[in-house]
Amino acid sequence: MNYKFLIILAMLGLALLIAGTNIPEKTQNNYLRIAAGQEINGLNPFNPAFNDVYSQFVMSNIWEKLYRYTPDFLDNPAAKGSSDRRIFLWIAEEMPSYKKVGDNYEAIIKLRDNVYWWDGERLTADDVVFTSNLMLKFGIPPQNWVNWSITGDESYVESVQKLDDFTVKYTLKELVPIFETGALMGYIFPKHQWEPIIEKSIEKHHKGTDKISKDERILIASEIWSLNLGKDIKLDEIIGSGPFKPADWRKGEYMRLDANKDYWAKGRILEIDGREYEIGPYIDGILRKVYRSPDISKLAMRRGEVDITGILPSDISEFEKIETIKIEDYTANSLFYLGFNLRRKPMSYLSFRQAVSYLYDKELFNERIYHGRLPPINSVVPFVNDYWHNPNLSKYGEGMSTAEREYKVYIILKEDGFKWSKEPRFNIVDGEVIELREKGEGLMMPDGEVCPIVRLMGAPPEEIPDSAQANIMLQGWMIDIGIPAKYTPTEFATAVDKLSPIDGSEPDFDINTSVGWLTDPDPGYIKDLWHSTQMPEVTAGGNNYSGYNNPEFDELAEQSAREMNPEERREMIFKLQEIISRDLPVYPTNTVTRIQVYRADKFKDWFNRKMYGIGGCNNPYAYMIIKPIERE
Amino acid sequence: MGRLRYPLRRIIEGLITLFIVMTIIFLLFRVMPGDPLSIVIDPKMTPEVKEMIRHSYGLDQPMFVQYGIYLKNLFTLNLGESFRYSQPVSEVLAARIPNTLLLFTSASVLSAVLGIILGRIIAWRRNSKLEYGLTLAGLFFYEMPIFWFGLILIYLFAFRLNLFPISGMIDFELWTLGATTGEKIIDILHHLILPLITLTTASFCGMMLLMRTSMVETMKEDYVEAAKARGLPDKVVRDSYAARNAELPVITAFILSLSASIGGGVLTEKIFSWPGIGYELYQATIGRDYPLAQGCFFILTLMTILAVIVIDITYAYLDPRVSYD
Repeated sequence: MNYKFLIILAMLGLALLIAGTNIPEKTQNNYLRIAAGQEINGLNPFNPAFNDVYSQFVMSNIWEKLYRYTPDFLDNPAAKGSSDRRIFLWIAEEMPSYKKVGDNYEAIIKLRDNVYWWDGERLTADDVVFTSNLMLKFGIPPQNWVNWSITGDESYVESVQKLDDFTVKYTLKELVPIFETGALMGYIFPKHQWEPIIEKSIEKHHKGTDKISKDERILIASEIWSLNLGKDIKLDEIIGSGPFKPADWRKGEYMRLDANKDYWAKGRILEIDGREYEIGPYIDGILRKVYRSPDISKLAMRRGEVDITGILPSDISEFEKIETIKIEDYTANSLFYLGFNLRRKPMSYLSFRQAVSYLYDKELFNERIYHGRLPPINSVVPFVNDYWHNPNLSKYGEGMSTAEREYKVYIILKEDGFKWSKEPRFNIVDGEVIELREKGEGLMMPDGEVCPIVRLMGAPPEEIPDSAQANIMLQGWMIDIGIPAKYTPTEFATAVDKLSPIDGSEPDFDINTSVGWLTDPDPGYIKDLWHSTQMPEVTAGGNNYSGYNNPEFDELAEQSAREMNPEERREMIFKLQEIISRDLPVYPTNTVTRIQVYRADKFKDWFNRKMYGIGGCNNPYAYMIIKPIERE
Repeated sequence: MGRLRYPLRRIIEGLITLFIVMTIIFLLFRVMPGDPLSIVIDPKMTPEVKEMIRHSYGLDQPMFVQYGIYLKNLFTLNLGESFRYSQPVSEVLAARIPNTLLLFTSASVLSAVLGIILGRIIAWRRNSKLEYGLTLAGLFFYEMPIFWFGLILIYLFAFRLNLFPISGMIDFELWTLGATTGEKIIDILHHLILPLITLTTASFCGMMLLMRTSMVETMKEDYVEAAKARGLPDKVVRDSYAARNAELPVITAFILSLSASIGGGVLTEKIFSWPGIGYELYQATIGRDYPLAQGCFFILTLMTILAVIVIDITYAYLDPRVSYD
C-alpha cells in the first residue's frame, strides 16, 4: 500500500480518535447558558459605540439605576405623583419630591442605605453626584446621556449636589417627564473607581487654571471612552453594584458573568403579574456564547448546549415536540412604517399618502409573508405600550380585499384631482368590487404634471428577503392603479445616509420602508421623530426624515414634553398619534413578535417581560429571579 | 550582484503595489455611501458631543489630512483603532489571526497534500474509472455551496451522531470553568475537525486538477519517455521524474493559497462560529469600521505581495530556466 495513503489513513484515524476521545466531564454547575447572535462590542459605559443591545445586556448587569420601570409595566402605587405610574424604585428609596424655588425646581432623591459596590464600599450620594456631574461639568456622557436634554442643545439640569450621604438634590431649569424616565434611569458609577481616571485625564489635557475648554473636554472625553474595560481596567477590577460580575471574556467566543452572591437586593420581593418572586441571584452565573448562525444556535439548543435562544415561527413545530423545552413569545415595542418624503410630489399630496396606505395590506403581509411575526399596528405608539397607545385611529383598508383597496385608492385619487391617460377599470357586481379589470396608465397629478416614478426604498432581498417581497407586492399594486412605482433595494447604511444626510442637506428618497425603531416605553420619541426642528436639513442627522412641518403638532409635542401629569400628558400623546394618523407623514405598518425557547427542566421561574421577553438588556429582572431545578 | 538586484527590485515593486492597493482601499471606503458614525451619533446629542465623537474618530479632518495620517500610520505599522471595538486594530487582528491561521492554513496544507497525491494518481491512470470518479467527486465538492455542506456535516456528525461539537473553537463551559492545557489542546482539535473537513473537501479539487494537468504535460516530456524506456519501475518514473517537475505550478498555487488563508472565509466562519478574521472583515466592511477593514486588507495585501515575491525569488533560484532579468 502506498505510504501516502497510510498518512491519510493515519490522519483520519487521528480525527476519529479525537472525536471519540473522552472530553473531560464538565463540572456540574448552574450557569445559565445563553446563545447570543453577536459579539459584545465593549464594556466601557461611556463609549457611544457600545450602545448595542449585546454590550448593554452586560452593562445592565454591572451598573444599576436609581429608578426603573415596573417589571410587568403595571402601575406602581408608589409612583402616584410621577409623570409615569410605571416608575419603580431601585437604588432610590422614594420617588423624587419636587419644590419650586424661584425660576427653578428642586428635586430631592432619597437613596437606599443598603446598596453596596462589589468591593464592599457603600453606594452613596457622592456616587450619584459624581455620575451626574460627568455630563454637567465635563460633558462626558454616560449611556442614556441624551436624555439630559430635551432640545438637543442644553441640559435642563442646572446642578446636582449632595445633601447628606443618602440624599441628592437636583436643581432643574424645567420640570420635565424625561428627567424621571431618562436622566434618573441612567447608570450610576462608583466615584472611587472613575474619579481618579477622570482626574488623571483632566490633569493631562487641561492647561492652566481656567475652566476646561471645549477642545480640552473633547480630548478628555475621547480618552475616557477609549478605555478598554477588560484590559485597561481588568474584568475583575470593574466595580459595579449589579447582580452579575464579568469574570471571563474570550472575544468572539464567550463571556462569563458570575453571580454576585452578596447582591444588595437579595431577598427583596418583586411582585410580577400578581405573583411574588424573591430576588437572588440563584444561578451560578451567565455564560454567553456567540453563535453566528441562527441555524446552529437552534441545533445547540436542541442538543442541550445552551438553555435559551431565539427562534423563527417556522422552527416552532420542531421545538413543540421536545418536552423539556418551552416556547414563549413577546411583541416588541418596535415601530415600522412607510415614510413619505413630503418635500416631493406626489408624496406631498395627502390623497396620495392615503392611497399608498390603503394599498399596503399589512394584514396580508403578516399572514402570508411574515407568518405572524410582524403584527400590524395603526399608531406610532405600538399597541403593546398600552398606556400610551391610542387604539382609536384610522385603520386604512383593514378587512378589505385587494380589489376593494385598489378601488378605494382610485376613488381617493380621482376625487383629489388625479387623472389618468387610461383609467383603471373594475368589475363591480351589486356594489361589490370583484376585481381590477384593466390597469390604470399615465397618472397625472392635480397640478397637471405627469406623476414621476415613485421609488420604494427598501431593504435588499439578500438582507431581508421577506421585506423585499412585501415591497415588490406593493409596487405591483401601485402599478395596477397607474402609479409609476419602482422598488429600489437599498442597503441599510446607505438608506440611513439618504434619510438623514449628516451634511444638513435634504433627504433623498420618495417612500422609505427601510428603517424602523425599537421605541422607548416613554412616548417622548414622537416629538424627536416628527418635530419640525428634527428635519435633517434643520438639525443635521435629525430623524424627521419626512420633513413633516405642522405647527399644531410641534406645539402639542412641546407641551407633552413638559407635562408632568400622566393623565393630561396621555391625552396629548393620544392627540399627537391622531395627528400623525391623519396627516400621514408616515404610515405605521407593523411591530415585531419574537419567539424564545428555554430549558424548563433545568431552570424555573422564567420571566417573560412585556415588550422585552426573557432576559436581554431591557429585562434586568429575569436572571436575578430564575432558579435552578434540583437534579438527581 | 545580479542575484541581489533581482530580489531588491521585486521588493521595491511590491512596496509600490502595496502603496497603490492601500490608496485604492482608502478611497473605496470613503466613496462608499453611509456615514460610519451614523450608528453612534444621535441627533439629540449636543453639537459639542457630536464634535467630540467625530474628533475622537479622526473624521473631522479633511480627506487629504486623513489620507496623510493613514499613510503615516501604515508606515509605522499603526493600524489605528477600530470604531466598533474602540480597541487598536492590531489587537483585534492579533486575537483573530491565529484562529484563522490554525483552520485555514491547516486546510490549505491538507488540500495541497491531498490534491498533489490524488492529482498524480489520476494523471498516471488517465481515462480510468478512478480518474472519472475522482474528478467528478472533486468537482462536485468544489462547486457545492460551502455553507450548505458545512450545515450537513454539522447536522450529521455533530447533532445526530454527537461525534463533534456543533460550533465554535472551544467548549466555552469547559474553558471558563476549568480545564488543563492538555484538555484545552484536545478540545481545540476536536472543534477543528469538522470545519477542516469542510474546507479541505471543498478545496482539494483545485489542487488535484492543477496537478493532473501539469503532470499530463510533464509526462509527454522526453526525459519521462526515456526513463520508461530504460525500464525503470512505474512508481519511480511517476514520482521521481514526472511528479517532481509537475509540482512547480502546484507549489505556486499552494503558496498563494497559504497567503490568502490569512483572510479566512466568511461563510465557514459564520456556520462554525469560528472566531477568525474573515467574518470580522465582513462585519467591518458592512459596518463602515474603516480602520479595522483597512487593517484586514493591509495584512491580506501584504501577505499576498510577500507570497508572490517569495514565489518569484524561489523560482529564480530553483529553476535555471527563469532569468533574473
